[in-house]
Parts: sequence; C-alpha cells; structure tokens
Amino acid sequence: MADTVKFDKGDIKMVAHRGLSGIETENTALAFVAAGNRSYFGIETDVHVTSDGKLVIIHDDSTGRVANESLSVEGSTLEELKALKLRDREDGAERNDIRLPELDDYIKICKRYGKVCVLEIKNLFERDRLKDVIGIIIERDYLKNVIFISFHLQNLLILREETPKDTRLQFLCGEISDETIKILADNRIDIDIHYPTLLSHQEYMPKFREKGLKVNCWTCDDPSDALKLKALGVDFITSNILE
Amino acid sequence: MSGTIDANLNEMPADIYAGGDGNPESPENENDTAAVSGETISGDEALKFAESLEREATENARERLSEQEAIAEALVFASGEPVKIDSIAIAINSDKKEAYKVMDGLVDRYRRRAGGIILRKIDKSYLFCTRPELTENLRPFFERSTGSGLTRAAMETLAVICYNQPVTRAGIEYVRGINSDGVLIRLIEKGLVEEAGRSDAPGRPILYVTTPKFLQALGVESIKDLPKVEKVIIREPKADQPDAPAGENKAEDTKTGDGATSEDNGGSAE
Repeated sequence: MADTVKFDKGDIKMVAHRGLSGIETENTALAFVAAGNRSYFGIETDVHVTSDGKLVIIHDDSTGRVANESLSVEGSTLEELKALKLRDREDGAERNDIRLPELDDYIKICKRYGKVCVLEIKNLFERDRLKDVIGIIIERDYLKNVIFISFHLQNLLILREETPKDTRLQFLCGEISDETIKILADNRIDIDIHYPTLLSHQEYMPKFREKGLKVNCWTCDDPSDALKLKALGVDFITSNILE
Repeated sequence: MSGTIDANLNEMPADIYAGGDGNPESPENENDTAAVSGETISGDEALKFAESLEREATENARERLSEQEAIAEALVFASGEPVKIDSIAIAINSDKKEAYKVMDGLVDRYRRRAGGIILRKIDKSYLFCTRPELTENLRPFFERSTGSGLTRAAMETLAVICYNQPVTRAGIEYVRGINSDGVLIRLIEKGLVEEAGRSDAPGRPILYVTTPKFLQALGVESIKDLPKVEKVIIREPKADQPDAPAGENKAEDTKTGDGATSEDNGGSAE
C-alpha cells in the first residue's frame, strides 16, 4: 500500500507539496484529502488565473503533464480546463473522477481537514486578481489559516497591503541577497527556500534568524536531507512524501 | 484534529505558525517575524525593488534552455562532427522548420555568451567549434592539426572550384592552365570536394563542388560568406573537345601561382 515516508521531524511543520503528490495525482482533491488524513501541518498548492478571470489549481502553465490534452491555462476558460480528465499518478490512465480543482475547492478541503493552506500565487497577478483570491478565502472565513507563497515578491507586497497585518507570507527563493532579506524582514515576509541551496549556504540561517524570519524549504523527499534541515533549525519542510 | 473529517474549526490556531500539525497549542508573538532593523523599506520603494527582482528573474529565465534546446545541444556535442538538421529534427521530435528555429536560437546563445566555444551552422548542419579568435592561444597545443596540409596547387584548385562551382574538370583546368587530375583526386580524398552530377555540355562531364567539410575548415556557413572576387568566365569545351585535355588552355585574368607541381600530374598532395 502506498504510504508516506516517516522521519523524526521533531518540531518541524510538514507541508504536503501539491497535496500528497507522492501518492495521488498532484494538486487534485484526491491529493488534498490524502494529506488531510495525515499529520501534515499544511497543504501546499498552486493557483493560476484562467482566460475568463477564474482561479484554478494547477502547477504548470499548461495541462500537458497532468492531462492527455495540453491546454494553456491562462489561454483557456475555467470550463475548458475543468472538462479535462486528469491522469492517474500510478498508471497514467485517464480518470473520470479527477479534474482540475478551483481555488474554492481547495480551501474547502483544507478547512474540512483543519489544515493550513500554503497557497502559491504562480505567476505575477494583477492586484484585482489577488483581491479575488483573498475574497474567496474570506468567503470561507479562512484567511487566518493561509500562508501565501510566491516567487514574485510583488505579489507578496500587494498581499501585504491588501490583507490584515498578521497574514503570513513566504517568499520562494534560491540564493538570496542581504538586501532582499532586509526587504523581506521590513515587510514581514518569511522565507521559503530551495532546500539544496540552504544546505550549501548554511550561512543564510543566522541571517534569517537575526531578522526573525521563519524558514520553510522546498521540496525535500530525502529523509537524510530532512534531518540535516532539522539540525539547521528550519521551521517547515515541504515534501511530496515525507511525513 | 488531523486525520479526522469532522475537524472542529474552532480548534484552528490563533497563530498558524504555532504547533506542528495544524493544531498548535499556543500562538506566538506576531512580532517574531521580520524583526525590523535600521531604515524600513516598504510600500512603493519595496515594490520598485520587487520589480527589479522580476526583471532579473526574467533575464535568467531567458537564459535557461528549453528541453528541445538541451537535447539538440547534447546531440551536437556528442557527435563531434556536423549534425544534419534532419537528425536534429528527429531528436527533438519536430519538423525541420522548428529544428532550425531551435538551433538558430542556440547559435545566438553561444554567440552572446562570448565563451571559448561557439555553435556553427555549416550548410544544413551544426557543429561545435572553438572561437576563431582563440586560434593563436590553442595553436601550441594542436600544432600538428592546425596546418591545412594542402599544397599551393591544391589551394588554387579549391579556390577555382569554390568560386565557380559546380564546375567540370575542364573548367578547372581552363582557369589554372594545367592538368589538374591529381590534385582533384587528392581533394576528393580529403573530403573537401565532391561530385555533383554531370554537366549538360557535350560528353556530360562530371561537375565538382566543395563540401560542408570545406565550409567547416574555412569557418563559414555557406559559400556566400566568402570574400567576393571578380567572376572568372569559364568557356565550356567545344563539341569536338569533350572534357578537354589540360595544359593547352590558358588562364585569363586569373592569378595561377607559379606553375605546375608534381601533384598536378597525379603526385602526392602531402
């Protein structure tokens, strides 16, 4: 039976990457529920804007990796995208029962299972689209249980302006400059760092700590590396399979 | 709470950063994140900084190779000799038009990189080469292989073929003013010249052209890239003189060097 890989995580908060994508097709209701039924602190996912301005959950800019038909996400309507049958993670067979979720589907599942949403804003969003994201989460009364993450600092700075001051934000990064660290600190934005980069730049940790930044790292599936990250004192580990 | 479907949302943390499995015991101080030191950068100033990061990221993304570019690059590198566009198209699972687009992009990347290696288009093939400007730096290490290995007669014959191709043997001899059988054979053996059908002239003589290897040796993409010279008009042999014997024709308006060598008459070119 497919199961997660356990390790001695101590106080580290584990985040299921794209849902429990080591077991179920990534970023689907199946993957979110699989994570929901385990000890994860949070469930990570990715949101895109469709051509008709709706919010859909998928990692890539196109559907080719998860469906038999390759559609541009930003170039397709939500209806077109939701009509696609996604492939099973194990045998690659098209399945009737897994489709691309909407943002609201994801929030609903996280809320039902009491998990923190770790929501990646995939591309550079316009302010109004970010307001749409916030609106959907507020509609479910779940904003306090969301960590917004993004590679685009602009998204996070706009979210900082548009949400209550205690909203949690994390900047996705690899190598990072002292200047960026300062700006993150000044704007109460934490770190979500590529974990091999952190292991090879361990000098970052005292800098993060000096600024009071929490540290998440992506995406570690190796238990021995996870233990190294634990020894470094990271706060979160995002993983496809480690629990 | 985790692992149950009917989790009570009232159990969710006041501060989601506290606790380890979505069910924290106590909230942390909200000021623990991002302790500020010195002058604070926020608002428009922070957004400007974010925009500069965005531009930098865009530039970096442009530098990343696509999967097709990576495959094509690996194929040409591993081959060590010119790889035809047909093979590249098969490798990247596309048509030739798309393959040319991918390869031209790669050529441009290597050019802009200004490193020691360039990707060169030779006719309809691609090959990795060292940058020509570095030849003198490399010469001491590759002394033996940097010479052309061609005699004056061979160079002269190559030049005639190059600027008049496709050309018959008689045409070559007309320009050079001397029998060129031997030197032509040596050039074919070296892969610098090849046959390219037959002329419609009487006797249907064989036509000769330069090869992609010749272009490669000269470091040009096509014959059009060579320096321009005054066109030499070659008179085709008369009907009663099919593929006319050499030695009787004289070159006109053409610098032919200082005469015949043993190679011209079939001797060694080395």
